[in-house]
Parts: sequence; C-alpha cells; structure tokens
Amino acid sequence: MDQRKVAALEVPGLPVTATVRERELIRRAADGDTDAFTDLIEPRAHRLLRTATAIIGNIGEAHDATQETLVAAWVHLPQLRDPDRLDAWLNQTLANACRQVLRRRRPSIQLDPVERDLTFPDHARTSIESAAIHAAFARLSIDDRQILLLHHLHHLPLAEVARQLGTPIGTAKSRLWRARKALERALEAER
Amino acid sequence: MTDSPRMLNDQRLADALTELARQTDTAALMADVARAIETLPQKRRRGWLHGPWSRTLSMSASIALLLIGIGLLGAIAVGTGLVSLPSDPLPRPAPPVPQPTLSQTSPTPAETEPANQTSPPSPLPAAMGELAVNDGACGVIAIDPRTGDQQRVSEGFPNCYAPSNTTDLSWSPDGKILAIGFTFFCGGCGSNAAQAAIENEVDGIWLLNAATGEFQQLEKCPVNCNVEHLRWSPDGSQLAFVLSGDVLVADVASPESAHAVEGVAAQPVTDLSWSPDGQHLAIAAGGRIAIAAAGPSDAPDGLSDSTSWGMDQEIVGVDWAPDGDSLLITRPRSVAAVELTRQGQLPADPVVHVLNEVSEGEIAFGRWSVDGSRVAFTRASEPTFDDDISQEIWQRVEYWTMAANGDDAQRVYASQWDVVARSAPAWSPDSGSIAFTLVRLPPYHEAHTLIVPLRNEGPIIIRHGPPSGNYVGHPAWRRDGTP
Repeated sequence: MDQRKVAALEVPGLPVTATVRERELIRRAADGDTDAFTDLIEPRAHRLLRTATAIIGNIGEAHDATQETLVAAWVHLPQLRDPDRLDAWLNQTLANACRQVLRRRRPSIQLDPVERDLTFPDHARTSIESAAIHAAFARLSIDDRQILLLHHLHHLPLAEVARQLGTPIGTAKSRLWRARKALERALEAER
Repeated sequence: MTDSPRMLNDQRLADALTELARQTDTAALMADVARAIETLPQKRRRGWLHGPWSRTLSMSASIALLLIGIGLLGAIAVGTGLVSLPSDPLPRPAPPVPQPTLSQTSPTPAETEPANQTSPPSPLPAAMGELAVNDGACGVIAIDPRTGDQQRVSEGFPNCYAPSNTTDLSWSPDGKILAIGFTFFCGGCGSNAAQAAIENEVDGIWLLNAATGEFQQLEKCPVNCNVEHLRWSPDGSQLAFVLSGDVLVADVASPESAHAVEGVAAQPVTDLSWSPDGQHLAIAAGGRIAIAAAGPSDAPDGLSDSTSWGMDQEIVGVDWAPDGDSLLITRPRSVAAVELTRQGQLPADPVVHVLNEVSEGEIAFGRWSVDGSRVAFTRASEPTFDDDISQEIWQRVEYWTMAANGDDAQRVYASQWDVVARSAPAWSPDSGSIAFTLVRLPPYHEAHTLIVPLRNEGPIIIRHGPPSGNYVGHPAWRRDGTP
C-alpha cells in the first residue's frame, strides 16, 4: 500500500474519519491504484466471504462468489458517484453472486459439475439444534439470509444494516423482522 | 421468563450462523482477487460509457440507423408476405412427470395441467400484435396472443453465453425494435464459451430488429453488470435503463450520448417510468420517489433537476399515468395513486389515494393499462416452507385488476401451483388482456407465459421452459399491434 498518500490526509492529533480516508481510497482506486483498492476492500473481504459462505454453504463456491463481487467492484468503481453506496453495492452484488451460484446447481442448467468437496456443515461439531437452524436457514431467500447474517452473525446494529443494504432504517427493520419470522416458520417445518 | 428449547433466541441463532461461516480464508481470497484484476483486459477506465467502446458505439449508431432503415423496408416486406422472420417452430414439451419427492401438499398432476390443454385458446381481437418472451437462454420467442402459438424468432446475438440472464425485454413504441437487457455471471469463467462472451463484451443492451432478425448492441457493460428496467421513451428515440444501480438514458441513434440521471442517491433503484411527454423520469428507490429531467443536465455538477418525496414504506414500483396527472406507486402492502402538480412534479405533500391494500401477502408490479382505465398488480402469498426440494421461497401468486379509482377489483388469475418467480403484468395494446410469466418450482422448473383476457374468457397458457435459473423475463407486447 502507498502509505504516503493516505498519511497526507491525516492531521497529527486529530483522528481521520473513515469517510475522508475512504473517499480518498475510492478516488485513487477508481483511478487505477490497486494498492488503494486493496486497502479499500481488505477490511470488507472477511465479512463478505463469511456472508457468502453462510449463504451458499460451500467454501469453494463462496470464495468464487466473493471474488467475482470484488473483481466487479474493481471494474465498476469509476462509476461509483456516491462513496456511501459502496457497501450497499457490494452487498447487493454479493447477493446476486450467491443467487447465481445456487441457480447453477440446478441440474437443468448446471454448467460444470462442482468438484470441490463440501466442507460443512461440520456435523461432528454441530448440535441438533444448530443443524435444524442450518436447514431452515437454507430454505430462506438470499435476501433474507443476507440481512439475518448482517445482524446476527456480524452483529451490526440496525442503522448499519440499513446502510449496508442501502435502505431506510424502517425498511431494514421490517425486512429483518420478516426474515426472522420466515426463519422461525422454516424452523418449525424442520422439527 | 425462560427460553423454551424450541424458541429461537438471538444467541442460538448467532451460534448457528457462526458455525455456517467458519473456515474462511480471506488471505487466499485477496490473493485471488489481485490475480484476477491483473489478468483483466484493460477495459476498466473512468467513464466506461465513453471509454474504448465509444468508437465502436459510434460506428454502431450508424449501423443501427442503417438497420432501422432496412428494418422499415423489411417490416413492409414481412407485412406483405414477401419475406418471413427467421424462425423455427418451437415444439411444446411434454407435460412434466411429478417426482416422488414431492410432498403431500404439492399440486396434483391434474392441478398442474396447463389450462390451454383443458380449455381452447380464447379468441382475441385481431391485429393485437405479438408478445415476446425470453426462451430461457439467449433466444426470443414470439407468441401470437390470439392462438397461443409460439415461434422462436431469434437464437440470440453472437457469442451469447447461455444459460444467461436476459433481464428485460421491451418493444419500441412503433413495434419495430425489441430491446433486450442481458447479463451473465460466470463463477470461474473457465469455459471457452464464457471466455468468448467476455472477450466480445456481450453484456449490456441489444436491439433486435424485428423485420430482419439482426442484432445491434446499444450499450456494453462489464461482466457482472446488472442491466434492468428497460423503458423506451414515448417517441421511441431514447431508452432509459438501470445499470448497476444507476439510471441511464441512451439516445438510440447515438449511443455514445448516454448520460446518467440523478434520482434518489444511495438507494437501489427498484423501478422507473417515463412521463407521457418524454421529458421526465419517475424513479422509485427505497422509500422515495424522484422525478428527474430525462435530458442531459446543464447544471455544473451534471446532476439532473429533480423533486422527490418519500414515505415510511419501501416503494417497489412506479408507473406514470397515461394522462400524466399522477403516479401509480406500489408498496408491499398497497397500491396507490400520487397526484402530481400541473407541471408534472411531486408536491411537497402530495395527495395519495390508496387504491387497494392487503394485510397479508406481498403486492408488486402495479401497472396502468394502456388507456389508463384500469390498474393491474400482483399479490403473492406468504411464503411456505413445507417442501425441501428448493432453496428458494415459493409462493402462490395472484394477478388482479381494478378500475383506476380502485373500484371493481377482480382477481383474474390465481396460480394452482407454487412459483419461484413472477413477472409484472403486461397490458395488451387494447387494454383488454394482461400477460405475465411465472417460473414453476423444480422438478418442473419451467416458465409459463399466460395471456388472460378480462372478459370472462379462459386464459391462454404457453409453456416455454426451462427458464434461466429462476429468472423470469417480463413479456413485452408490441404496442402498434402490427405483427
């Protein structure tokens, strides 16, 4: 990473807001600075990968979906006019990527056999209760899974969930409630 | 109060989700992303609309004009029977065989028979035009709404990569050009076909000349872009669309002039609609509606002048009334008309007429009829989960119409089987029928397009699966009514 350019934004004794730093990283990455792009996405990559892994249920496919999302981010970054939309766009793209992965699994449209080993759920370490939740979770829509993960796996408060999804807080709240209800109903069906 | 073992509390849920998300390797991911970026073609430049494709697009514009001219001649030839469209008869597939894995609550075979096998196609007014739907891959199927006969009129554009996502279809107002939104997603992008599609930059918007069967690419966009909501301007000179979250307007005759329309920032755009005079676009995004000038902005920041108005609920659809006086907005629980000012703008506190609302289910796709006398919308049941053959939410779907003031609400169709995707209702040019496409659950996994006359006649059901994934393309009527 080119520390010099980012450091130039910092004023000794004063914290640099994430927004200022991120705006600069986005601007530089949009201009083709791969180091800036790395600094921009690295803090997000872990969360995105874990989200994809939980949604898809296969580490290899989740890796591919997240990679596609991040490569698409690199390709599209010059089009991003509002830096505050970066996370919303990443999450939307990731959801689409996961949806595509799951679509391709259907026999009628499968392109290439998935040769990777399924690595989880790890039943040896999974309680019966967790297994039921996993099965119920897999019945949900991608959007429902995503919002549940943002709140219950990544422990984001509602306002941050709304920002991550690019929706008003009220919308995020109602979506989260509906997703939770859908999960509970799916869980009942599993028991 | 103590938790019952059967209750789902936050800690149990967090623990279970943590188990699902373990064993990730972020370092390997970052390394792979870096390698992938290194190997990308040098096409990622600021303002890709004006990037290395601009010359191609400029040339394409000239070719498009030429093709349109040829198309006009071709249309005359087709109309007089001198030539025929490139087409192959598309045989209807045999009825699917229910699999033993279906649960007891799944539809019985008798319930699943397409209606057109039990009731003859209903006669429809002559010269109504044709419906176009996606064939589940890259091709286009034309449907004669009077008979239900279908023909594949195109196999798709060069280097199309299927299974694909044809995200939308839209006929130009004169019925001569079909706009097709197309994107595909390749996980590993390893196959030769996928590589060819990438190298030829097939993603974007294609224009199919109905008379000649020729394709012309109007817009290109990088792999994994998301192009949707294709909307022709009333005079057919421009095409508005949403590309990866941004609203763009392209001049069909000079594609390089495509410009962004600033709508509601920081919100995913869910729908857009032209004003009848072609001067403005109504944009739905999140919980807000914006009305923005459709033309390029003269403002120093390049942003369009716009007015906007919001509400607590998410707005999932917007449709400008044919008389220009109001917007039809769709929210998950209601359909409403929002009055506009005489200048066609949103007042600060607009009058909202709720036309219909429900306490259960989810409403979507409110659409004015062509003559503005009625409104159609869909309602999906709450999702059910007693079948483990699909990971998707699946629902029963209803289609409703009602008078423009909300009276005379009629359920014109209710699915007898579960669907995983549904399209908007598309009104026929005479406002006498709606058409829509449904995707049925696996193992059937096929797309059905239905044409439902509103005059107590049975629906025509055309089966044309399999769809591409669970994607459902919106059927498109030719509004000039001249096949």
